[in-house]
Amino acid sequence: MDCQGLRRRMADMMAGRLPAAEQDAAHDHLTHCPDCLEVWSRGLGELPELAAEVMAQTAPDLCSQAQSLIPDLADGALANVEAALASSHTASCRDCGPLAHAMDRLAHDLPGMAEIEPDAVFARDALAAMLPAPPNPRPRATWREIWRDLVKRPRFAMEAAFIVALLVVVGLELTRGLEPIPQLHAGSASLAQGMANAARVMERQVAAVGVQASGGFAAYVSQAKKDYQRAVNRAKSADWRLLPSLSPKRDDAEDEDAGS
Amino acid sequence: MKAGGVNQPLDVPVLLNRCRAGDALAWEALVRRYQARIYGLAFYYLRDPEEARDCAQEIFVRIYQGLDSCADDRTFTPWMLTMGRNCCIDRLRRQAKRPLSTDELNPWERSPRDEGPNPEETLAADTRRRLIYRALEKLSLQSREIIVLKEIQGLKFREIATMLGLPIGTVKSRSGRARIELAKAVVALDSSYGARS
Repeated sequence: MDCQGLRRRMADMMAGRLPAAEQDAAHDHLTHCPDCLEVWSRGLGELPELAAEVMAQTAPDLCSQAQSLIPDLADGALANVEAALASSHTASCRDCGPLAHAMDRLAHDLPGMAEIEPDAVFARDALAAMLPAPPNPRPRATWREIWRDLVKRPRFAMEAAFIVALLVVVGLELTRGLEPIPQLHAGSASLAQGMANAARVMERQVAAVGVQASGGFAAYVSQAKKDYQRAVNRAKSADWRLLPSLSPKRDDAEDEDAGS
Repeated sequence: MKAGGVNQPLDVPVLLNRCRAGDALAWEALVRRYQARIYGLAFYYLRDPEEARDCAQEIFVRIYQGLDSCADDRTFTPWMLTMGRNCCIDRLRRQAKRPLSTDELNPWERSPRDEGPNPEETLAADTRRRLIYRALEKLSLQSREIIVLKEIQGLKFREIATMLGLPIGTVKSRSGRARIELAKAVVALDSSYGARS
């Protein structure tokens, strides 16, 4: 299609009445002919009312199609013909024109909105939230605080029960080894009895070899007997059940033996 | 004195390598460089200054803990924004339905900014940003997210598709629809928005 042919068909092209093949040929020509493109664009602009009436009857969704092209038009991403067509429409359309202008302005304004300055201490707070906390010079804890912290520990009840049980066991063991006063007396009685028995054995051995016991040794034995008897009496007066083996009769018999 | 190179910002890979080695100063430089961007991302999702602040801190903690998982330092920005977006979504899920923000929460209304060499231009730019923010409020979460990621944060379609787990064609078509939606919302608020430029 040459320039004259295009300009003869321009009115039909504006109204969208060209057959598809001629429409494509007209587009091809517009792509390569800046003069015809300018005439065509100006022609659309000079007849806004007529074109609007015609388009309202023949292509009611024209604005939707144009608006779908407006973003690419603002980005410069459309091919020449499409860009020229979209530009022509937006130049004359009362609805799409402001949108195209707004789109151009938005493409300029929006990138500048990426950064919004926070308050002055934001960076400090953000860094403080990540870096380890500085050592805190805590005051020395009082005994009450130590006890409170100790009690708050989750295992405190179990540990307290363990300690109490340990104290009970150890206490029982310790008190089992301690003798009450009657037993102490019984211990003295046993000692005296042992000494008396030893004295008797020695006397028998001395008699067996025919040697007379000296007066000093007899006095010692006598004193031991007295001590023994005194211990027995004290033990009996304290708790007679602790001295089952120290019956008075037996003691008397042994005294006689010891005296002989 | 070698003053010429001191004030120039360090390359991100250099900072990242030092951060991974435990250099606290490098980490501080990284936080200061990206704090406004992370805070801005959180603000667009959460629409609340305090929530955005807390969330931005949490995002930085996650970034710090996950620095080793950023395989390619050249893709640090999309990796960081992906982490930020996930953190914002987690926080939104934990919260009840959020009330719509009011003009007082508009970040371009709230903080007086450094006016720079041309106060009139700065004022005009802030006026436009306030308008855009109000228009963003009117979009659906899906459209707003695409606008924030693509147009505001400048991510590529491929990166957004990976982030959202969507085909790239779907992201492109959503982006186109969202941009038209935003343009309509802006024009509805101020019909002279694009014309006065």
